[in-house]
Amino acid sequence: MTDTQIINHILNGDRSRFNTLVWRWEKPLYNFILRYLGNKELARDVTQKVFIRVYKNLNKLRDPTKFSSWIYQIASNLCKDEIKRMSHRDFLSLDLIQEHNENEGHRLPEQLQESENCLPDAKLNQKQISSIVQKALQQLPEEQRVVIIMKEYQGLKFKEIAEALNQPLNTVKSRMYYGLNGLRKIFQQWQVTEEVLNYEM
Amino acid sequence: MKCNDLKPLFIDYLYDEISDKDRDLFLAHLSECESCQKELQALQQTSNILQKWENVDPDFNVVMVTEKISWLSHLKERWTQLSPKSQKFAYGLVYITIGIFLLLAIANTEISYRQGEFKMSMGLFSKPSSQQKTDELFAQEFVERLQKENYYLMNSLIQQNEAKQQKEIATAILQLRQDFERKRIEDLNLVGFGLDNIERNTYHQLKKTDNSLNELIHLINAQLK
Repeated sequence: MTDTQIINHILNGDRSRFNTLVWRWEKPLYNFILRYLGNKELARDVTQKVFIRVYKNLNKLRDPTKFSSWIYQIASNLCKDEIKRMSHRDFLSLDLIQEHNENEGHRLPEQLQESENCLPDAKLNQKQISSIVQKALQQLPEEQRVVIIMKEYQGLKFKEIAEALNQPLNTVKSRMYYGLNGLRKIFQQWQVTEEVLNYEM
Repeated sequence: MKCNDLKPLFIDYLYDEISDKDRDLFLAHLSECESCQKELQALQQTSNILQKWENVDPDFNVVMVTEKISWLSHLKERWTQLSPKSQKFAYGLVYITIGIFLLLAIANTEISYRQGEFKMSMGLFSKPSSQQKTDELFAQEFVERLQKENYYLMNSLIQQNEAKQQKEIATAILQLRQDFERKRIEDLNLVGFGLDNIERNTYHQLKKTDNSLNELIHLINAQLK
């Protein structure tokens, strides 16, 4: 059964089917939000908020075939709100984090430095890789980061990303291009290449 | 074609969202331009590095408990699902219905002055006057019938009561008479008995007197002799 069919069932009164949607979307949404915010606790809260908002507003979804763009739109809006809220609440601490990030920007993350110092057969585990990529992504401007996450990890078409972010298609593509180039430079700086990761793996 | 003109196609090509026409253009340029080849390779590599970060399973489960919705909120929800056109239509229908009711109510307003006070009544539908008359007649008949029934009922009650009282009086008189009769017989008996006694006493006394007179006569006779 497709998402569209499930949504039609829900809109016709069979609300228990919503859990099927939840089971389908829980993992991709959580991973999207986790990559966006970079914090497990926050990602969990925001995932729940997304489902609540979807549940409340499902009847406002005019075209059920665009559900995936719509749910990512809700998720990215809530993530944006969350970042704004954090910056208001933890004004000082966020400044400190930014300063910390700026200093780190020119350095390799600790995990990789450690592994480089280790024996050649030392392997980078998934945790270390995710930490490196996450830190690299955090260096990017938010608008580029969200496009890259939606394309690379959620597998959305550029058209769907444009719908979700409510931006022109060309803007989305150019953000993707600049984002990827930005990441390329960061990885170069850190001397992280595909070969290194493959070898170490 | 300049490299800069092809920049937008890098992303389309990389993620396989390029049209066939653009693909041919892009590949043609790529075969001639080494720097673009390098850039594409670098972007591809960056994308590959990103792919090393795998998805994780969430350490929680979201379960939505379906709420019980009241018919009112269900109605509201249905309402929001209606298209603006049909919503407008429904609004129009409601307004027209209310208007008709108001008109009827105003048209059938009655103000009357009866027995020193004003009376005003509003109704959706006017009452036919003939009906009102028969209603009044019917009411009058009803009251009369009720009065008659009451009269008969009272009469029968009174009669019953009287009969009962008479019966009671008769039995009381009978009993009194019987008592009186018994007492008279008793009295007569006593009188009879008393008379007998008196008779007997008188007889004895007369006999005594007779005897004593006889003795006296004997005595006198004896003395005379």
